[in-house]
Amino acid sequence: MSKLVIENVGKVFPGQRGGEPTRALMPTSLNVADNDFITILGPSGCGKSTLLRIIGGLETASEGRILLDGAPVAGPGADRGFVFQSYTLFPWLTVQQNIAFGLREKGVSDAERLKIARDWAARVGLGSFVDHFPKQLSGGMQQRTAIARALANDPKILLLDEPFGALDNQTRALMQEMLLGIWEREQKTVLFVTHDIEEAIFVGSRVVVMSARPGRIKADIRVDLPHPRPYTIKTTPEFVALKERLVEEIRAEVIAAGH
Amino acid sequence: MRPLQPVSASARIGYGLAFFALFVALWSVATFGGYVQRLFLADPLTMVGEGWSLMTRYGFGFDIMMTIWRVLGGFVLAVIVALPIGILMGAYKPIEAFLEPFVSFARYLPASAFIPLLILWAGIGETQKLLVIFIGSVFQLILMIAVSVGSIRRDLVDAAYTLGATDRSVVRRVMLPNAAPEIAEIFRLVLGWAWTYVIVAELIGSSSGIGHMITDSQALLNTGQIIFGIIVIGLIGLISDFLFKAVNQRLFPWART
Repeated sequence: MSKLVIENVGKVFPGQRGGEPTRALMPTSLNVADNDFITILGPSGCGKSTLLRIIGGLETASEGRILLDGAPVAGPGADRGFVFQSYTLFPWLTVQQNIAFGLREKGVSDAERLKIARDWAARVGLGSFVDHFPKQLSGGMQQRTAIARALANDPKILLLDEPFGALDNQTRALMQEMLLGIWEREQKTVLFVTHDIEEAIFVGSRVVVMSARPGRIKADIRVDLPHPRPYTIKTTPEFVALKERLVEEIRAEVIAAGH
Repeated sequence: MRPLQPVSASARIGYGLAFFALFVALWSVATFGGYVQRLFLADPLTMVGEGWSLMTRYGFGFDIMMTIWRVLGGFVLAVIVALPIGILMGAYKPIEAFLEPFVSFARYLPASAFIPLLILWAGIGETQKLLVIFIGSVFQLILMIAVSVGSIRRDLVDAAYTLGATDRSVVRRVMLPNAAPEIAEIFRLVLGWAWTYVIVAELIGSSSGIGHMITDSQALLNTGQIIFGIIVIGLIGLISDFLFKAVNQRLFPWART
């Protein structure tokens, strides 16, 4: 059975001031298997973030439905961890308190919370920064904390909305490796939205390509690269071939969207 | 000097004191130089002398304490009322839609214009003084707190929901701490305004307080005492401002500067 089932989910935004309604997302269906790492790749404004936000419960679908472990999704919840492109750590909480935020909501005891939060901080390489406030951290460290915060909740699925989009190239590459490492160790179901082709291939086991607005799924490609994947894999012929193929797919969409 | 070029901490204090010195110097020239009649404006030395006799012989310390007590009393009452209302208005839009128009209207009602009415209702005792401060601050506080609570970044609230937060804990654990430094800043501002109301309240129908001393001195044409009273108010304002800033910085180390 699929972990997550997306059934004909579409989104139409109502017209502004009597204008025409805008369709952001065509009815889309997708099945996500347990422990799958799916990257959703598409040009900007193609509705990929909208789809992810609907799955996260942050936006309502205009049609269709979403099932997580067979149960329909209604509204946001701790079973779907979400990492945003913008920095969303709570500025008044330390790294450790940020990571423990969801656990506190669940009513986990102080000692247990502390243990889990410190453990996750260490796993994302921030073991010595547990008492720092977000403003004292770099962008990459903030996003690492955000990932730890989502995972500390032990969600059924992790949703990432261009989490490394605001980071510089070098930091982004390191973050991809870190995320991939966590996935290889923890076996989590992950949906990862990005517009970066190399990123989509490197971290994903399956790349779903979306068309220009209104978005629909245009291609669904397996990435049969072995795990663990070192960063050097980005220069192998298999990787390059896959990249060329996706570049063509995306290029057509960007042109179709009128750039 | 170049735009936005910073100054060192010591230079900042130096510049700040320099203007005070310049101010006193101009005042001295105007009064000692005989450009202004002594009847209208006392010179700095006379002012200090009058201040000394006020403090040592006329028990002005008691008046100062009375005024401080009134400001704080009225202000604390206003905070107790305004804080929950402001938070609810900031967090829940229907409550805001319900109360905002009235509060916006009420905050333009001048507190000083209520004094005759308040004397009718509450007499000329302490209750009336506290009510003037209360009316003057409560509506301002409500509106400003509501705006600061409501102006949270949407994605922080979204993040909290995806971490399993309930509506209640989004308000308590996200919107409130997010707004806390700004609310503390609002307290500092509005407390400053409360000081102007208390003096007005004490000018009419009062037997103690800095404002009372000022009206008394006016009857005696003692401009030295009036100026001393005004300077005391300024100094207390400066000290409370400083204390507020220091406390805020300690309470909210995570906030930007």
